[in-house]
Amino acid sequence: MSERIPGDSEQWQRLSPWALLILFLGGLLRFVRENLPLVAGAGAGAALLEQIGLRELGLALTLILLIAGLISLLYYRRFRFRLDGDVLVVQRGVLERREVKVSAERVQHMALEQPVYMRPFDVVRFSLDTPGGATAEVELPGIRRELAERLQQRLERARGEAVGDDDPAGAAESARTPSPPLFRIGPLGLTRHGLASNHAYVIAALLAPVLQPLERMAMRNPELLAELPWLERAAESPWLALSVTVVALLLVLMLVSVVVAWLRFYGFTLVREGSRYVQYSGLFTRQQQTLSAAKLQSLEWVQTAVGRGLRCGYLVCHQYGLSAGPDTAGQHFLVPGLRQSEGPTLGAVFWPGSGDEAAGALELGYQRVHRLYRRVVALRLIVIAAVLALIFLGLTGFPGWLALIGVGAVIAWPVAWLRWRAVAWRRSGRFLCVRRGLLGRRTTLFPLEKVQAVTVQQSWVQRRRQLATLHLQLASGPVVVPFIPLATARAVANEALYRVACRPSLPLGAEQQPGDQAEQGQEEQDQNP
Amino acid sequence: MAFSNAPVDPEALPRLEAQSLQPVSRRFAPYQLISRFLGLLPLGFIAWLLPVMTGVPMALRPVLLGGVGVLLVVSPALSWLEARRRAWAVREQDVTYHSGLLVQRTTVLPFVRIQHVETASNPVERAFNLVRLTCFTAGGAGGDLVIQGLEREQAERLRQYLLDRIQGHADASDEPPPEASDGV
Repeated sequence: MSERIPGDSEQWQRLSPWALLILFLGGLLRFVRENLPLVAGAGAGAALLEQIGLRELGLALTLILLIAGLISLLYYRRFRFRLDGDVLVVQRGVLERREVKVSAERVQHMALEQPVYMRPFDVVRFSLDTPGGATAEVELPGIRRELAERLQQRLERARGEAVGDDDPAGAAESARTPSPPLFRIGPLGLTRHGLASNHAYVIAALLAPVLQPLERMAMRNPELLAELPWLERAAESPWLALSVTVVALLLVLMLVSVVVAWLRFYGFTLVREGSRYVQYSGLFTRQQQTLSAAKLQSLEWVQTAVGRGLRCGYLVCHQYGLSAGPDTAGQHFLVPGLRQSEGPTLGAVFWPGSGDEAAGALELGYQRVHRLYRRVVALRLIVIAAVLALIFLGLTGFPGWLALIGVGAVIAWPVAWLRWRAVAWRRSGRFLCVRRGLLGRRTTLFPLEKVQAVTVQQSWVQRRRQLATLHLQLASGPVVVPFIPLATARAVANEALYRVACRPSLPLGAEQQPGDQAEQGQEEQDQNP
Repeated sequence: MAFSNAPVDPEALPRLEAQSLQPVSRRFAPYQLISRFLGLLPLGFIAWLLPVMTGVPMALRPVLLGGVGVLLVVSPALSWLEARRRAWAVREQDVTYHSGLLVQRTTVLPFVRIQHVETASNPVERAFNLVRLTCFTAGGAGGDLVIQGLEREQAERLRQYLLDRIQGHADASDEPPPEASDGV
């Protein structure tokens, strides 16, 4: 079944020469994006300093660009890769030579990305994701598209054979004949996603250091404002000025958000090819991401606060590895701009063979947790308010801070009630679904056999009422169901442990019934007193 | 791929709550006491130095020291009580660990989820001949199970058993899981 890929991948290969451009520009962009506050502050500060003339600025910029260019050239010269059977070997590094070996069965996520300036040359950036820590991602920044796709196919096939896929040839067949897309986004969906995303706050936080220099510039050049008489009148009343500024800022942020959503998700299409899911998206930078169905750990249906008002949200497909960062980082397998009704239906599609169970878990009525949760949350809020009040009282000596306790006592109960209402969960066959979140909502759906470990936790208050908090640890992070009856928590934990140990994929598990295991356990207990 | 999804009767499942857990070594409680005391001692130095270094008035020093003193008595006592209640158990398919005093938690980790097992001990633990066993999973640092308070020989046997189970060499019915019957 080994297809002779003409010429290439067995020997050491270099990146395409056009990769230099990708490395240079991509490196600069990444540096700016990661250090945006620093760059914005430095740029704004430098622009306003009268001592620095244009010549010095130009010189400094040229120096920076030269250094970046040198680093990219060195990186390009030192970078080489090859496919050694099932293992992709990559050697890279400017100062520190590093060799990374990735075996096909460890790969859980593949992505092909093509920036707009690479389209004439048909060069893509190929990246692999494996379960692991910081060094889990391997990237080939600039290879020909055919080579990238062949690598992808070889790795897919090798992984399918290693995992025991019974029909790799069939998978390849269905890959060549594309099935109808599972989901394709439209302009309304894009706009909704942009409006609802939390991007705006992140951008606002990053742009905060730019506001002060702008303000100074405005005050130093009042003739700019003279052109707009209505603005001058508005500036006279402070409240009006404040509200106008806030509204203007919000509009700008929303516009930026929508533009970013359009750029990133334009033409988003989701298809299933054999045992994997592929998404294509992007306006200028075209992206293609692959997710293997077997590596899917949990599915999350996310609705931000604004999204709940607009009745839209997005799905996140979690694999191994904690995804604690914002979903906008571009690394997660994300299905954006889904309507409230579409989300759960699409979610069920990701679990082939159990679609009805999964849909049932997401859509139908939820169970609430015990009422005691309300009281506990309210008391926690009051205690926090009291501690804060005491701290401020100690720091400033102003007795008015004690009023904070009163305020806390008043708002704690409604907030606690809202939080209690927000938590809900549901069991449906082998799926568990947990919904949390006060303003935004996150609903996590996963089959019990993906659980890594279970913890049943009881505080002394819960012990008196026979309640417990259930922690289910997944490879993609913990899922917590608070304040459920102790018997239910134990039942779910027991079933999860059973399903983990006796998964249908294991040859032993398919025929074994709980009754057999209980008998074995009984014998074991009889033998070992 | 043969896929079966028969319904599972909850009553017939093995119960995690029906296990009889073995308590950890008796030396763990004094170790916890001393460890917590030593950990809180720097607070005493800070309380002593705070009025001198910052603008806090000197009259507050006895109050601060008193507070730290109370803490130095109550906290180790609580950890001593908590350490006596810790327990663990091993079944055919998983390992269980129970800990906590006011907030009690029972964690069960199936063997198929353990990626790697490690033992470690700091100098105080070595003085008490105790060892800490860590079972690494795919869930990140929060998902790892740390079993504290095992005797050295016991920990070594448990570690070997877990490693064998991970590699699938041992058959559960042949090699019984290690027990605390001979260790004190």
